[in-house]
Amino acid sequence: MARFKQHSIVPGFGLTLGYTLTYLSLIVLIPLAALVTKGAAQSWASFSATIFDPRTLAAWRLTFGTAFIASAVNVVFGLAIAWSLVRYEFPGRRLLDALIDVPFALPTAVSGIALTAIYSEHGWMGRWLTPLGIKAAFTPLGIVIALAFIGLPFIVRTVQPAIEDLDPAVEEAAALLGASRLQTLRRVILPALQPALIAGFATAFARALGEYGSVIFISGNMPMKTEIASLLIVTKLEQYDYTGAAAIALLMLASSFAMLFAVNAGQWWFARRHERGA
Amino acid sequence: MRTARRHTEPAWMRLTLILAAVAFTGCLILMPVVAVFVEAFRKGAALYVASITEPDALSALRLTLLTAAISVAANLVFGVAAAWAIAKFRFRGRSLLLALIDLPFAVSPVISGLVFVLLFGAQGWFGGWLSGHGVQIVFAEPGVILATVFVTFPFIARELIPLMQEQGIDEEEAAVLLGASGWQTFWRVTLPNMRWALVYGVVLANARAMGEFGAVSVVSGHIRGRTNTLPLHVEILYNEYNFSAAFAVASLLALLALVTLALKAFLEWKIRAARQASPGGEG
Amino acid sequence: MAIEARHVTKVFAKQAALRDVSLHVADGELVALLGPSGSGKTTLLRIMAGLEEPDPAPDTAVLIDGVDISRQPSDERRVGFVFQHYALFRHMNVFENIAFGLRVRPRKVRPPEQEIRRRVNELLDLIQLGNWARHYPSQLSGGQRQRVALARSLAIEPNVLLLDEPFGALDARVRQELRRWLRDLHEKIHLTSVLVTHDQEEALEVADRVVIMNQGRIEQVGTPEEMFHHPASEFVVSFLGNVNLFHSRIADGKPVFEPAAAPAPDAAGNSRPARVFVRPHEMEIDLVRTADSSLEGRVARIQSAGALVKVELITKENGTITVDLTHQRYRELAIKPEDTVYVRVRESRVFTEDYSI
Repeated sequence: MARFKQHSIVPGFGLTLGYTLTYLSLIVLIPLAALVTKGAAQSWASFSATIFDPRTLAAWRLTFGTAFIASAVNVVFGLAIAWSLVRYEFPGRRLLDALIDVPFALPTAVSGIALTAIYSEHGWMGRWLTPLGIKAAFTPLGIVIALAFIGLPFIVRTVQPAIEDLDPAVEEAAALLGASRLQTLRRVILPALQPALIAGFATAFARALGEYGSVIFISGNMPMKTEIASLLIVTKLEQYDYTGAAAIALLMLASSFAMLFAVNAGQWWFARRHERGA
Repeated sequence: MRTARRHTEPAWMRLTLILAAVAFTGCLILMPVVAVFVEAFRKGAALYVASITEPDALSALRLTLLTAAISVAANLVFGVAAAWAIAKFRFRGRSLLLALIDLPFAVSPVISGLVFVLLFGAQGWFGGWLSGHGVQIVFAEPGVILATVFVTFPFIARELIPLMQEQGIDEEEAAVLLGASGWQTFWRVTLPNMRWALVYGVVLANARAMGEFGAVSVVSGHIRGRTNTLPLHVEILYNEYNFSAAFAVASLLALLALVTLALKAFLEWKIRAARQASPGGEG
Repeated sequence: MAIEARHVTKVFAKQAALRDVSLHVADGELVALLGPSGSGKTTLLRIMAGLEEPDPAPDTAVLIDGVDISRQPSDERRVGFVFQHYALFRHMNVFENIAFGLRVRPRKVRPPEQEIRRRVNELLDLIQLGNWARHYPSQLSGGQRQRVALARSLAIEPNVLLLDEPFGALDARVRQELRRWLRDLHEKIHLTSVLVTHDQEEALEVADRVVIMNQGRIEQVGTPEEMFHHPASEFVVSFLGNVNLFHSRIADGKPVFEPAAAPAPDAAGNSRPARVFVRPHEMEIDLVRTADSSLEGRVARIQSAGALVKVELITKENGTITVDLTHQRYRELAIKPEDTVYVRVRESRVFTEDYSI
């Protein structure tokens, strides 16, 4: 035990670590292991049959595509929101700040039915879109809207602290060197916010990949058209195709992990290069 | 004439940004919240009350409360133990442990439910053994509870660990040197210092536990009156085209969310205040 | 180009940072704004840069080369500014940082890329960082970063160079090096410069003229020698260098501290209480009482400090005073603690009560 743990007179290490590891294994590690074994234990033929099945591919394309678009839209508006919250004073600023956390707290089923009601043909927003020939509910557009809803707080809450940390002296320096405000925004401020924007995008994207409750009501769930990957997993389960479900689940898990890993690695690399104070 | 101020955006740009921010947030976020309540009362208050007091709704409420209570309690004990081990000691593999604790955050809700079906379902690892002993986990209450525990696993630990790390081990070491046992140290020294973070973690975990949908949906089997939580009940009502009832039940959950947000803001303020007073400051 | 501030007042939240301050800096001069924190020196500098605005008043103005800067758009003002914490653009390398001011110019006024490169390389040679062009600020030391910041502000060929405690964030040795380097640079390019510092050594070493500020007002303006030998007020004296303070009385035009007397050039009238400021090296120690050396003291402590020996004496009427001796004189006197010695004042500054500060 000598080199495993640094000496300390504070008691309780053995007990707490033991309990932690046991509980962690029982609740998290073993269940996940079951998934990995079930998914990986099948033959490659069986695995690829599920993964490359047209319905799965369609679901995959849809899930990735909508997650990407929703997160990209959120980056644009999330930046505007975070900037306004940090830099400007206006009536209702506090309310706006409080609203951003709603998607974190609101149960996904509730947001799911609410968004459907709003964007269906006669809904509050739907009625403006129908005359324009735009259908939101039961289309990929609806899925994008739902994913934008749940992803927004990830981006705003990641970018906000980065904006708060901007050094005002750097902006003053740029202005004194003759840069117009737009030039300063483009050449000095945006690059400085880039890491936070990317991290926010990645977190929102990873979350959107696996989202279920907020999406299944508004999407219509038509196979090959508006069926998202997580729904496909549920469908396969209901058909007792455990291995098929496990295969898709593994793929989804791998994508989320890869995304988060890439972002963490990128941030670490970026920090090493730039952050040591300037 | 005023000095040309280059330190902030031109007025047109500020206005555009603010309007864009407000419009986007209003349409995307505020509207759904308002819609829940409007739709809930669309058919009148009488129907609203009937919807939420109807037996299936009440049993869904019961299961939701039970599930939340058990998962929060279980994860609370875990959170405290894990925070103690991680924040007060240095050992090899600490960062790995931290990453593992965060795992459930990265897992999609549906997968969170799937893993338990794979473990305890008919074809699962323990499926045979369980049915042989007449124990039902999946498609029964225990499954619902387990899936919820999984999903809310990191919440409390994540709130406690950074705070405890920040506070260091000086006070605990001092207590031990003065003769306190481990439990005494914990109760009298550590716990008071992390009260607010603890409550914060509990509030967040509770909100998630009561509102969880995807994981529970996979595991529960949707058996009315038995394995339905409030969110699942909302789904059932909605799929039966019983919209106003669905929204009525949903409004309870929305209310829970709003209360959670208010508590969250209050606790954040408390924690900030405690942080400012803390390093060496408190008597 | 000359820079001038006229009747500048600035009040921040009920606190007056500047009270009716006027200052003229001649073309090619290097002026130091010196004072404790809260004296208003940084505020004055920022107002000169246009980063802040003075409180509006009819006779208030900031002029560069005679032109009121409030009537000039920012990018025509050409003010070079160096920040205490460098404010370099972290995500750009050294070259890009220096080139920034040239690259953001409107197309009409922008020099061609070749010309930009030439100028930047010239500046890189000037700051002796030619090999570091592709490095990023995080890879440079503090002193190197500040040189880059300086080069960056020089790139736009400013009319005036303003420096806000430029060496405040650096180690003592780097500070000294850069101080000397800045002075050399100024000799070379003769750019009108204003430097804010709280370090008097820095101000006295680097500047052509020094402006001492206190609580939002200018106490004195003059060359370093004038400041040191002809301080205009008590604040100036005590701010600059160690002093001993004697309370005495003016009698017959001379300050009297029983029983010694010191020459009092600006005293008038009799028996008025006065404060006499004497620097440690402006006194001498004798072993016997004489007409001039009549202040008696007991040696309390002797400390060797570099080139001098500091002797602490306890006197009956004036508490503890410090006298600096050369090592040679100290050896000649051969004094030790508890000895009784006599102090002679060679030079002093006297302030009587009717002197308002």
